[in-house]
Amino acid sequence: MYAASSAKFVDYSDALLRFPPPRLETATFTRNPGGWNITLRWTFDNPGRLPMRLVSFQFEFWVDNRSDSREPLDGAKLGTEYTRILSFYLDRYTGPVVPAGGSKSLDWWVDETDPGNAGKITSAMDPTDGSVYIVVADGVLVFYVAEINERHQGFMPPLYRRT
Amino acid sequence: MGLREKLQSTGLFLLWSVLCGVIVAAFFVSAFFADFGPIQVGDPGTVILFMPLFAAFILGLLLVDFELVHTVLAALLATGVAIGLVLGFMFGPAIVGVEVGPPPYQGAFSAILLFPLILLGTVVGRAIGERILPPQAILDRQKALMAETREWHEQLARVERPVPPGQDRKP
Repeated sequence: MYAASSAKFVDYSDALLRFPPPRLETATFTRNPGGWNITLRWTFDNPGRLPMRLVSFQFEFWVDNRSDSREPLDGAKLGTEYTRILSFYLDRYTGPVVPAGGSKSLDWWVDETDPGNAGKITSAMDPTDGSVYIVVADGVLVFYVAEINERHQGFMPPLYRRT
Repeated sequence: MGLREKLQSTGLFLLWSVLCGVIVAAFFVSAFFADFGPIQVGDPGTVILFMPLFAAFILGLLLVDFELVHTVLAALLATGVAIGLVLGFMFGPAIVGVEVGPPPYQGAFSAILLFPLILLGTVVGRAIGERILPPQAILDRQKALMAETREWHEQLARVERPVPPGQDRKP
């Protein structure tokens, strides 16, 4: 009983120590008749020995307008670009579980039909190869380790990606 | 007592005391850090009062062949082992090198209460054990005393046998 408790506590600490921020696996921008369909796939890796229960994840992404020479994370510049806040909120009994030593991928998608917003995406697109550069920031992940009643919050570093 | 018996007796003393400490620590950790325990043992207050008393009572029963001072030493040893194991649990991640913050302190200072409870349980257990399971040495002593008493009775009976009339009492 003592050994099991100690081992679980060590595994718990190890899981928290090694749990990496989620990674953006793919970001796909597809034209549709009304505008754009955007799909973002996030992967949550769990190298620990205990499963993780994700209860919420929120992030904001911007489509970088590269014709503007300011830094991609410049606040004033971000204010002029196409942006969306995406998230999910569940509880510690229904949230998705990342198995011990495994991964879990989750998709977020947006159908952008507003002509103004769709225009912002189109104009931000690289004219040579059609790629889009996105900025992801303000990512906050809330999770539990196994069934241990302690809520944890992880903040994601900002991300700049070409899709 | 031969060397072999002495070693055996010391080994048993250490074994029972360490086992008592392990049992108390296991219940203490399961009660105060319930999320990590394999079984739910219930209210920490009840566990911290009942388990040390009960485990130490059994320890006292097992140490009935030892002197009272050894019982107190066993209580000290069991408490030391229990507190050591609780600290080992708290600092386990740090020992292994995977700590992410300060160790959890919830209720850990209550471990100091273990000593009086274990001491009480051990002494009471030994006292009751002496009544219901008297040690062999006491049984031997009682037997020898009974034999001696019987012998005295017989001698007295011989001395006090009435002397037939016309005969002198021999010294």
